[in-house]
Amino acid sequence: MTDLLVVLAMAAVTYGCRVVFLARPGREPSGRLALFLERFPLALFVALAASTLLVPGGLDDPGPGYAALAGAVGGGLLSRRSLPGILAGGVAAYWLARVFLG
Amino acid sequence: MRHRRAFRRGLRDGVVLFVAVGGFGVAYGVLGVQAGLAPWLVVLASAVVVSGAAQFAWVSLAAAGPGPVLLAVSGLALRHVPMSARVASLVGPRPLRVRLALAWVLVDETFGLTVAAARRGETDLVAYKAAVDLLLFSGWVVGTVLGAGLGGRFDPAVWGAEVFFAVLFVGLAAPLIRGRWDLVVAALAVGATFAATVFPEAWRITAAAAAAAAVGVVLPDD
Repeated sequence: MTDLLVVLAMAAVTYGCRVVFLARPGREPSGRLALFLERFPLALFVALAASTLLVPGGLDDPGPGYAALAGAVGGGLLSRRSLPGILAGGVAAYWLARVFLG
Repeated sequence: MRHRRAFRRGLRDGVVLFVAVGGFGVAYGVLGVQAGLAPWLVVLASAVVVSGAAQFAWVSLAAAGPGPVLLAVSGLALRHVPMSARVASLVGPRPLRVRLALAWVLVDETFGLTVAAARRGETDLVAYKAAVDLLLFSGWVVGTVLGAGLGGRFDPAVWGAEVFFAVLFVGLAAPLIRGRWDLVVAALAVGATFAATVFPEAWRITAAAAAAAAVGVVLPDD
């Protein structure tokens, strides 16, 4: 029941943000609020990645995690930061590290 | 006739979304079931939330409880606010039911294609976006159903699901780094994540992200 309510709340929040200016056109966020809204997603994605790959305790064996991060960065540089390139680089480096580091 | 042609152009441009987003839908479905969520709930979320970033964050933080999940999802959802304003200005005055429908699948990918179509001089953006929305929504939900069906057959530890998640978030962050001050915000987020280990586990990630974004507000805009 709690999980269902969480999903419905997620839907309400997400749709609410998507519809706010379509329902009432002509007004946009500005100033510091606009800048915070712009920068929060980047900070959140980085925090989510760092909590697993960098922070001690995120993985049982941190070595392959570091390799995955390096591979993701390398894949991103080679593919102009495309999501498939980053995923391929990260996952490939992770598996190679597991094979060679044990 | 004009609507049909714009709709067909949307279908043509949106096919790639169906395939790509469908693949991520499979990954999300697998990981959602492996996180202990009911398969029907994982699929329902794809139908009513329609946000890969929010749903992956939900699966990642589900064990932490509703508070951290909703805080994180709210933060992610807020990025749709400027998109809403932009699409509203592009489509102009339309009946309310049309504008409400356009908001349903207003995600990064459909927004990007719609803005690009507007720059090309697309004559009917509503029909174009409706087609793109239809394909993205279909790909996301169908992929999720497939993934949720497969979920129980995979062992996350064997397949390194945790690392896949983390790399996915690297991939979602990468296009958001457009200048040196964005890099500073990313570095702040890493530092804040280390510092946030003093907080209760459930709140570490959202606290770190909020702190980094708050500091980012006082940095110059690139």
